[in-house]
Amino acid sequence: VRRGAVEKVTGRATYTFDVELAGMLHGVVVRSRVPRGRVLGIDTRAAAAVPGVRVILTPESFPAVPGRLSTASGEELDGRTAIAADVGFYGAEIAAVAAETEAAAEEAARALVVRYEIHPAAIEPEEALAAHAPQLAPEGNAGREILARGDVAAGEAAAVRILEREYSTEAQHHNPLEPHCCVASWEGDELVLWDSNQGVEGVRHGLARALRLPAASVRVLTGPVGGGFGCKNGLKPLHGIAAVLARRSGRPVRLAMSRRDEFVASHQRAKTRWRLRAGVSADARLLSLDVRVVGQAGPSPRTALAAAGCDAGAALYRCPHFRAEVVRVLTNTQAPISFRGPASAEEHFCLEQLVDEIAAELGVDPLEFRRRNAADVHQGLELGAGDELAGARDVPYSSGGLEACYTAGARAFGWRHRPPGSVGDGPRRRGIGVGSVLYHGQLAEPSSVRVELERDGTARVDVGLSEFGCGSDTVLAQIAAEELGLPAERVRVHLGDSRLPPAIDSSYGSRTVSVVGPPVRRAARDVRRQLLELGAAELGVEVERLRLVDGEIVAGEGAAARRLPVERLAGGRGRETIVGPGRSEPPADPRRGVPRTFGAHFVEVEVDVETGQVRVLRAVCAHDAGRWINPLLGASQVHGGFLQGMGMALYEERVMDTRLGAMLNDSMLSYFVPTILDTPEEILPLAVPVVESANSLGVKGLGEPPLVGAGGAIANAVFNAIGVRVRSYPITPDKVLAALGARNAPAAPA
Amino acid sequence: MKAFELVDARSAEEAVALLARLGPRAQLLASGADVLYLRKDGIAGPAMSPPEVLIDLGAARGLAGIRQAPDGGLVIGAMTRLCELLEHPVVAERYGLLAQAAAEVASPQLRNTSTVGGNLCQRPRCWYFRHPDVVCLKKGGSTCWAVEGDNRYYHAILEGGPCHIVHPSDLAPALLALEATARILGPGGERRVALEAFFVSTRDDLYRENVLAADEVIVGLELPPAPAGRRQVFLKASVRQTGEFALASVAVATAIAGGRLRGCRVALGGVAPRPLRALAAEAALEGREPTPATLAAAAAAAVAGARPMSMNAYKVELLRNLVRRALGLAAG
Repeated sequence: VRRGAVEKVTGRATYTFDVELAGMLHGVVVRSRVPRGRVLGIDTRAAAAVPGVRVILTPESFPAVPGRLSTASGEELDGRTAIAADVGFYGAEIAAVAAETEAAAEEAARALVVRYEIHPAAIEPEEALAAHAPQLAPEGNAGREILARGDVAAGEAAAVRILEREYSTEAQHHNPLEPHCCVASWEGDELVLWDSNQGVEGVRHGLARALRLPAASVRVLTGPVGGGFGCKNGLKPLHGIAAVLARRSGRPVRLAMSRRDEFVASHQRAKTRWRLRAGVSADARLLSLDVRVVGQAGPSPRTALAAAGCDAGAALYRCPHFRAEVVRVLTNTQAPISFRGPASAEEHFCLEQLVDEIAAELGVDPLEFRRRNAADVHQGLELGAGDELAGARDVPYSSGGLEACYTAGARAFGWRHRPPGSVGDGPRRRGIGVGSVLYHGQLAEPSSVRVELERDGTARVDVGLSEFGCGSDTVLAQIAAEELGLPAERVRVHLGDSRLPPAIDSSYGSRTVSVVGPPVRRAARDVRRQLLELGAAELGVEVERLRLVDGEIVAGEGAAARRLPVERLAGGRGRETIVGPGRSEPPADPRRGVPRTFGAHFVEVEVDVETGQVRVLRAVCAHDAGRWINPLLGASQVHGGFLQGMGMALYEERVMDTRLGAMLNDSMLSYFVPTILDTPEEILPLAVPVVESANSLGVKGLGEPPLVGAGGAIANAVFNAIGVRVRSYPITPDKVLAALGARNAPAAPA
Repeated sequence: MKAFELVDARSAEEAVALLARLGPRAQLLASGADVLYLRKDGIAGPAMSPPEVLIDLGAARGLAGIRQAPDGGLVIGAMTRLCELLEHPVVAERYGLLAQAAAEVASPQLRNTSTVGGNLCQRPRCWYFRHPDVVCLKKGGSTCWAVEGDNRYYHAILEGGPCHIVHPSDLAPALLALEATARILGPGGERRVALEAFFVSTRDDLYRENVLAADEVIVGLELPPAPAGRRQVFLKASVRQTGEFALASVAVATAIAGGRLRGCRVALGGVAPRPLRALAAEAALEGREPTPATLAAAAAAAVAGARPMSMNAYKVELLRNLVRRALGLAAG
């Protein structure tokens, strides 16, 4: 059983919202109701008269606390003060109230009278790119980046066929079960923050920086977390606001976001528009790929990066001539932030449809087409590559399991390509589809951990990270237990406290196990070495002849074996406890082996051609994630990731009204996420055995790729079912019926 | 949520008396599935003031439960919970349409608390009506924001205008097809209104979706005796499998005698400001053999006169398909 599972399912786990401190006040954030403008003034008289109100913060009374958002490592990202008069999106923080009760705080918040100066806004990227659009930054509304290798024009000249298609993805909201919540309390000059996040360190550094405090004066405590999916990395506005409310009131303050707040102000995956153009040779090989992507970037160039990217297009398939123009367009909407497979999911959803369209045009089995074109080396870029791999061309992967994923997945699924629209003549048509994944494998980071053998013979693993639902505590305990020869129940993992050794800034990029796992193993190995040395002295046997088994040091075999329980050596009676420090392994050189993870999804869907409803029947998700340390937790990652990708592919979309600048479906009743009734009967995770050499554990990340691979496979299965493409996600009934209607419409008279 | 006063009504008569005494300050509360949401979200406008007093019908005697009427029909109390429709043997045997419709409402959790009367009186799901910052036509503003806005899901294709909501109830079309009558209690006593006449179009009244006066309470529904061998089908289309509000729904109840359709009733939900009887479709079916051509013609008649908005033309096709499918299932 994973750690914490019993507490969670029996309701005994203590989430941040359950933290109750003596004298605690309740805070509420007041948000802008215009998308762009300036708060001219806030009349606080009526609010101040509400019984129980203790503090009201307005742009004038809020201290200059820059950095609403920080990166996962705590670097300032957004220069806006957490509460400010300038407004760049509907939902921006413009005031806050703390009161004795939540009801009083809400009543006071409603009683604030805000006067705005409203400025013209650009909500959609098309509006922001129009000729007379308001300028949201001095450098203009569109930021451009070019990535390239080879010569696309030459590639197209050599191609026998050129295919150009447009696709789109919509803004997806994280919607963790547990909304953002924190409790701030000043203890002397030290700020203690209970907080629901993906990494105590990133929040601590972000907050210390914003409040201009020494990092050591901020302590972040994190209990169980009800999910994050990328939205709980680093500093968010509520942290600074809670800290200031607590300081002003001299009382602890809880600040919890409502579900509506989550929609209008916790940021999301960006909306993207793609134009993809491919040139193909006579023998069905990709010669050129020309990409233009436009991403909705929010109000500031400083937070625009997550709006769009192009990575898999340059790498997944062998393609000598490649060019991508990535355009990030400023808009008066929330800034995009990382979301499980950020930028990559959007790209894969579209790229994998294009690849399928090419295969269909050429009459080639889409799986066969992928196999023929899959790249087995990192091809690199001539223009726009990151520092680490700048100039690197045709470097092997540190491990590459794409072909193995195709093979294992196709076998488990029973892949036999069917011509589009060929199965079923009733209203419910079935189709199958495949989609590939290439994702960043390991984002390295220095990590520090500590393992200690206590005097009772149990071990503790101290790691400064937050466990936000992935089961990292269970996995790290397994790693330590294996080295220490202890049953896993005798290993406790301490986490969720920034006073523990800084194991990782924040858990993003599917990397917690690959960053923190090896140091834990090193620390445990160090404890093991010390134990065996002590045991050797005690037993008078050489270290090489000792084994550690089930908490005992064993010398010799069978009945003659001598056994020494480890607790006799650890602490107590004048002995020191045995401590092992753990640091990162020296990072592998990416120029010798580019770390990437791979996957292939196979999906069967049923499309009701009369109602337009799409239902996923089953999925096989083959993933190369190196060694799966805990297959059950790995399977959970695949289940959850696939369903979240399915949500993005079929249901989820932020609907904006451009006149209001506001989200219309800011509720779970109209923002559709998959529920248990939508879950396919089977999502079969397949662990493809691959030997990964970039770290000593042989692990790669698995958190994000299952989302990334879902959409293309689903969209391709929809096409296979009905013979018509829906190129705009989510694939909702209106689009399916419109696509079918366009095909069935009689040809216009000549 | 803004504080309010909660008063228990011990009977329908007491609820009526309270409504008469408190006037527009008061509003009825059944399970609160909708009333409390509207309140939490602060939905208000010149024609929609948030109530200061909620009159809870939960403890009112005689409003809950299903019983058989002396004439062989069925009486369903307004405070009957939706889950009871799924469990009642007579409903299952003779009024299966109701159970089918109830099963499509929301989730088991909500069906365990939501009531029949509440389901019929719930407010529309238009996201402009539900947005706290928009003062739309229905809330007393001057514009229907959906006309030039996003109207892809919960907006009308039939009878729309000047406000373009759709009625969200799944139960309503089923009850219309079963020719239910609403029993309404007011200060002057009880009146009976055919359910068809209970709902009003936005052309007739912008601010209400039914004829209930401010001091009236719906106490129950009467269903006429069920003809033997009546066939009943309820279908609902939505984005997910999950029980969300209908993009379109259709309820069909019909007998087949001598191979011909008799007394066929077709009612539509989720497509117009009120639940609609598809009278033209019924006329196209009456006395005919249920051939594919007849069913298709009736389905076409059901959507004749549809005037879709900028983004919901697909609902015309969807509704036509759904009606044809429901008729096919009923006749098959």
